[in-house]
Amino acid sequence: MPGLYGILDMCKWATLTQQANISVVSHNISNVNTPGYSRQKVILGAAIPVTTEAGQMGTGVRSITVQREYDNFVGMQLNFEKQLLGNWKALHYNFQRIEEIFSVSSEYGLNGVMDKFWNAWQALAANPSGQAERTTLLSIAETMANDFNKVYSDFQTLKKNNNNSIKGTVDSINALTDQIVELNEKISTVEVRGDMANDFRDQRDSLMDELAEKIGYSYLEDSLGQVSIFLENGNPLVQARMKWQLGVKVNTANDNLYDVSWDDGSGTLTAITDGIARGELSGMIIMRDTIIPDYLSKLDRLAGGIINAVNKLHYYGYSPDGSTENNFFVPLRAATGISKTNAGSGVITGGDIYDNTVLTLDDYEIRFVDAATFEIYNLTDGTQVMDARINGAEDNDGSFVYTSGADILFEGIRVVIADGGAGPAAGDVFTVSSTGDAAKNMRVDPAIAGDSTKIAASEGSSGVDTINALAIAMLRDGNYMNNNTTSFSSYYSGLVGEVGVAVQNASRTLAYRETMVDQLNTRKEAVSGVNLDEEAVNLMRYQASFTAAARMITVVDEMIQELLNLR
Amino acid sequence: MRISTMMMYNTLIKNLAKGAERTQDLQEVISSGKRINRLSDDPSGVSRTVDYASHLNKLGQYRENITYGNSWLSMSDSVLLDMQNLITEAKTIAIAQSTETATPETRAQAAVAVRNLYEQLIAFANTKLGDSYIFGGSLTRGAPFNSDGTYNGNADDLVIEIMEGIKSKINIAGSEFLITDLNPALSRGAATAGRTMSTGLTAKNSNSIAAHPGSLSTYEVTFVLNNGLRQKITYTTDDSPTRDELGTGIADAVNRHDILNQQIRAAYDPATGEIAFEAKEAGEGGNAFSIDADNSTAFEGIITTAFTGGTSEIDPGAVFTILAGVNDSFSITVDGVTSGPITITADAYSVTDLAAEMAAQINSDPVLNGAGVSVSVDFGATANGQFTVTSTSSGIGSTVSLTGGAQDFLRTVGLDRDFEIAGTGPTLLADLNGGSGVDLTAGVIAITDRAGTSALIDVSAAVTIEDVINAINAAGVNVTAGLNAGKNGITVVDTTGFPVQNLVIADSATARDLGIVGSKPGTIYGTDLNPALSAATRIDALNGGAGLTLDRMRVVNGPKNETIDLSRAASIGDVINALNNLGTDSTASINSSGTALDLRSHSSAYTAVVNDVGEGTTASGLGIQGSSDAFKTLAMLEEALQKNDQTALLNMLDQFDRILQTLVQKGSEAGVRTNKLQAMNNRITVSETEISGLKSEIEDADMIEYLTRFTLQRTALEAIMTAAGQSVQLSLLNFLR
Repeated sequence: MPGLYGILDMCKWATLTQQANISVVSHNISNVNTPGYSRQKVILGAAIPVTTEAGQMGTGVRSITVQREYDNFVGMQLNFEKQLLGNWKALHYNFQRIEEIFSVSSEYGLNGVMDKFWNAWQALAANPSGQAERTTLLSIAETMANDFNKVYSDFQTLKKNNNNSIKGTVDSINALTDQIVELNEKISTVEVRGDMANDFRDQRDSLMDELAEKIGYSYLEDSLGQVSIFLENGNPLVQARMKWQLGVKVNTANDNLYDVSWDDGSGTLTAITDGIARGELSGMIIMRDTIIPDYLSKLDRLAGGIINAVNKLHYYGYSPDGSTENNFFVPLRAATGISKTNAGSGVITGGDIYDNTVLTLDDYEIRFVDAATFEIYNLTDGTQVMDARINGAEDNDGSFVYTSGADILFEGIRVVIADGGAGPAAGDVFTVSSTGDAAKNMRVDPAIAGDSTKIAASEGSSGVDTINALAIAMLRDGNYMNNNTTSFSSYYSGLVGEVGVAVQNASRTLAYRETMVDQLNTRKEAVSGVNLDEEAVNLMRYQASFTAAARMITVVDEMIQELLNLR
Repeated sequence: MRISTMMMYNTLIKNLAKGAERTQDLQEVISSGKRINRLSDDPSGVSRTVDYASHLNKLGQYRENITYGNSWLSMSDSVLLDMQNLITEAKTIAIAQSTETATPETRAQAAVAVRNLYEQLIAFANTKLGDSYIFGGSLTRGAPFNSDGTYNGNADDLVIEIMEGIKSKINIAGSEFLITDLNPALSRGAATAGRTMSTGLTAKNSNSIAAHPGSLSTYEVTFVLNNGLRQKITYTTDDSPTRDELGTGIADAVNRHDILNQQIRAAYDPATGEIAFEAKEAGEGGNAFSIDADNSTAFEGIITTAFTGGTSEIDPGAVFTILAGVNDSFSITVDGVTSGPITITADAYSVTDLAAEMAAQINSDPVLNGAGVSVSVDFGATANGQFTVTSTSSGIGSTVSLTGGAQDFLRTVGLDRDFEIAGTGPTLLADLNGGSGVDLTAGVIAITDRAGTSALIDVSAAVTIEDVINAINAAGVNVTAGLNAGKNGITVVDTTGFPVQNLVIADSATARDLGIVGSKPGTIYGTDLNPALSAATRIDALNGGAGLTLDRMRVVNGPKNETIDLSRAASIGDVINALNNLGTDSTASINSSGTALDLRSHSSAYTAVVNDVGEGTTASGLGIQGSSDAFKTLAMLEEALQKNDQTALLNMLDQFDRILQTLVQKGSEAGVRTNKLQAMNNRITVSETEISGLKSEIEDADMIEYLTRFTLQRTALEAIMTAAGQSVQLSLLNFLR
C-alpha cells in the first residue's frame, strides 16, 4: 500500500508527464510549418503497480516514449509516386521547350519560311529575266536553311542542357545519399537504446522524397531503423551505413554524352543509364536519347526531302549563264552510326550518297548475322533490302558477304565497313541514314549562294525559259515525304501536331501525377500533420491534467502537514 | 479526416494559384485574340491551321501570279489591237492604190506612209512591260525584233501556275503571229531515194497529143467532158497527111466543133509536132476534160497521152506507141552520174511494159553501170497515174534528173524534167548548231555508263545525226541514244541495272557540239542542237518535227501567174527547185535569218506575190512572201508601191486579211486566257474566304465567350480570396481566453 510519499511520487510523475505532453505539443506547434514534420505524441502508460493486501495498486503514469504519427504505407506510396512525378516533371519541362522551338504563333516559323521558299520559285517562274526574283529566292533559301539549322541547334542545345542536368542531378543524388547515410547512423544510435529518432526520421524521409524525384529506387528498413536503398537495376545506393556513389561517364558510342554510372566502391564505373525508368533522371535520359533524336530525325527527313527534291530538278536545269549540273543545296551526306551494344570492333570508314535519284530518305540498319554475313533493313518501312552491290558485284538475295573495306552500295547509299580490329561480330548493328544531319547541314550550295545567276530556272540550255523554276515551285504540291504519300507542308503540319499532342499529353500526365502526389500528401498529412486547434485542445487538456496533479501535490502536502502536526 | 493546419494553407495556396493560372490563360486568349497560343492548346487544330496558313500563302502567290499574268495578257491584248488598226490602215492604202485612179506619184507617197507603218509595227512588236519585252518568247531582256523585221526571240511559252497544278501561258511569242519560223527538228527517219516524176503542177486543164500521121484516111479523137458527155471529132484526108497537115487539121476540127470550142482551145505547134488542148477556164474542175484513148485509136501511129485535167493522171489503160527516132530517146543523171543517150525500143507499150522497158534500158547504160548507180521505174506505185523513176540509192545525194535527149519521150510518158525530188536523209551534222556544224577534228566521244564501263566512240567519219546515234548505241556501254521528244537534241539513256555512278560524257569539242556533255544520275538530255534550215531539211521535220502539209500556191509576178503543187516535195531543196523552175521570173531562197523561204522577183517593175490557193496554208506555212508575216507583207507593200506594180497590189489584199485574222485570233486567245485568270482569281477569293474562315474558327477566340468566362473566373478568384481571408482567421485559438 503506497504511502503518502508514494502518492506524492505519483503526483510528481503526473506533472512531469503532463509537462512532457505540453512540451511535445509545443514542439508540434513550433513545427506547424516545417515541411516533412510529423506530429509527435507522448505515449503514456500506467506505472508498474504494487501489490498490496487490497490487491494491486496503481503507481501513476509514465511517459513511455515520444512517437511520431506516421503512416508507413502512405509514405512508401508517396515515395514511389514522387519517382513517377520526377520523370514527368523533367519530360514536361522539356516538351515545353520543344513547343517553343516549334512555335507557330509567328509566321517566321519553319512553315512560313517554307511557303516563302516555294513562292519565291513561283515568282522566278513568272519573271525569268528578273534579277530581283533571283536575289529574293536566294535570300529566302538561305533563311530557310538557317531556320532549319536553328531548329536543329535549338534541339541540340536542349539535348546538351539535359546532358548537363543529368550530371547535376547525379551530383545532388550523391549529396543526398551522404546525408541519408549520416541520418541512418544517428537514427540507429538513438533507436538502439529503444528510443524513437522521430526528428531524424522526418529529416530522412524528406531527403528520401527528394531523392525519389531524382531517380527511381526501392528501399527497406532494418531493425535498427536504418534504410537500404536499391536502384531500379538492383544496385545498392545505401546499405545501412555504407554508401555507393553515382557518376557520369562519357559514352563515345552515344555522341560523347554522359552515361549515368554506378561506382562499385573501387572507382570502377558501370553504366546504368538504361536501367533508369523513374525520377527526373529517367525523364532527361528519355528526352536526350529518344525523344529529341526522334524529332531531329523527323526534321532531318523533312530537310533532306526538300534538299533532295530541289537538287534533283536543279541539277538538270540550266542557268542564264549556261551553267548546269549544279546542286541548289549542298547535297545530302549519309550519316552512319555504330550501335552502343556492338560486341565486335567493326568501324564505318565511309558513307556517302552516290545516287540521289533512288534515295528513299529512310533510315537503315546493317545487321551482322554472323561475322561474315550481314543483312540490310529499312527501318522506316520495316522491309529488308534485297538488292545491293558489294565490292562491285551485285547480290539480290538479301544476304550479303562481308569483306573489310568493301564498298556496300544500296538504294543510292554507299557505306564502307572495315574490321577495325577483329572485325564485326554476330548481332552487331550499324546504322545508316541518308537524311542524317540534313537539318544541321542544310545550306545553299556555295556556287549558288555566291552567284544568284547560277540558279537553274530553265530546262533549255540557253537558260532563258523558266520551266525548271516552275517545276521546282510545284514540288510543294507533290508528295515526296513518307514514301511519296505526303507533301512537305503536310509532313510539317503533322510533325507540329505530333509535338502538340506530346506536350498536351505531358501536361495532362504531369497534372495527374501531381494530383496523385497531392492526394497521398493529404492522406499523409491527415496522419502526420499538425492541427493547431487540436494542439490547442491538447494543450488545455494537458494543462488541466497538470493543474489536477499539482492540486494533488497540495492535497498530499496538506495531508503530510496534518500528520506532522499530530503531537 | 484530420485536416492539418499546413494542409489548409497549402490547399488555399493551391486554389489561389490555380485560379490565377486560369485567369492568366483567359487573359492571354483575350489579349492575343487567339484561342490557340501554343501547340498543346489544340494539337490537331494547330496542325490544321498550319495547313490552312500554308494554303493561304500559296493562294496569295497564285493571286500574285495572276496579277502578273493579267498585266502581260492585257498589255499583249492592247498592243494586238493597235497592230490590227495598223494593218487595217495598210490594207486601206493597198486598196486605194490598187485602183486605176492611183498614179505612180500617189503610190510613191503611199510607200513613205507604209514605211512609217512598218517602223511603227516594229515599235509595237518591241513593246516592253517593265523591264521585259513581251513578244520575245522567254527572251525578255533584249528587243525581239530588229529594224529589218528579223526575230531575236524564241518560241518559248511563259507559263505561270494559277492554281494547284493548273498552268497558264501568259505571253504570245512574236514567232506565233509576226514572223514564220520553220524551226526544223532533227530527223532520223529512213533515207529516201531521189526520183523524178510529174510535177503535178497544173496551171490549167490541158492535154496534148503528138501528131504522128499514119497511112489512114480518117483520124478520130474522142474527148470526155466534165459533164460526162463524149464528143468525137473526125479529120478526113484522101492521102497520107504530113505531120503538120494532120496537126493543123485536128486543131481546126476541135476549134470549129460547136460544143468543144466553148470549152477547149486547140493549138498545133509545128516545132514539136504537138497538138495542145487547153481548157478555156482555168482552175481545178473548171472545164476538165480528158481524151479517151480507146476511142481515139483510129489515130493509128499517133501517141495519145490522156491526162485528166487538174490531176495529171495518166489513164492506166493508155497505150504508148514509141517510134524509133521520134520519141524514143532521152538521157538521165542518177546520183550525179550522167548516162549516155538512152533509147527505148520502138513498140506499142502498156504502162507496165513501158516502165519495165525504161528500167531495163536505163540500167543497161554502160556509164551508169560503170559508176554502179541504177534506178527503178514504176507506174502508179509512187504516184497515181504517173511514171516515177527512182534511184536505187537513197539519202542526200541521191538524185534523178532527166536531161536533154528527145523531149518527145519525156512528154509522152509525162515525165517532167523540171520536177525532181532529191533524196533525203537524217539531219546532217553540218546543219547543226545553226549551221556551224559539229567539230569532228578529234571526233571522239568518251562515255562512261553508270556501271562504270567506259568507251571511246569514234564519230570522226559521221555525216548525219543517225551516224552519231548508231555509233553510240553500238559502243558496247549500257546506254541507248536517240532523239529527245522535242526532236531538237540527242538523249542518252542509261540502262544500267544497278548503277554505281553518274553517266558521264566527257567534255570535248565534238561532244559539246553534239550537246551531250554531262554527268547525270540517269539520262543525259542533250541541249538544243538548233538545226539550220537548209536545202536538205525535210518537210516532215519542219515546225519542230510536226511537219508541214504542202499543197498548191499561186505565184504572181507581174504578167506571170502560175500555180504550183508542192504536195510531193520532200525537202526544202525540192520546194526551192520547183519554185525556181516554175518560170515566174523570180528566185526562191532561204531567208537571211534562216527561218523561212523568200521569193524575190527579178524584175525591177514587179513584186512577186505568193498567195495560198483557197483555204490552203502552203505559202503561209512556208513563210514565203507575205501571207501571214506582217513585216514581210508591209515591206512588200512598200516595194510594190515603189515599183508602181498594180498587179502585186491587187494580189496581196488577201494577205492583209490573213494577218488581221491571225491578230484577231491571238487577241481572242489573250482574252480567253484573261478570262481564265479572272475566273481563277474569283475561285481564289472564294477559297481564301473559306479557308480563312476555317482557320479563324480554329484559332480565333470567340471574344464574347472568353470575356464572359474571364468575368466568371474573376468572380471565382475573388470568392476564393474572400473564403481564404475568412477561413485562415478562423481558429480555436481565437475563442480561447
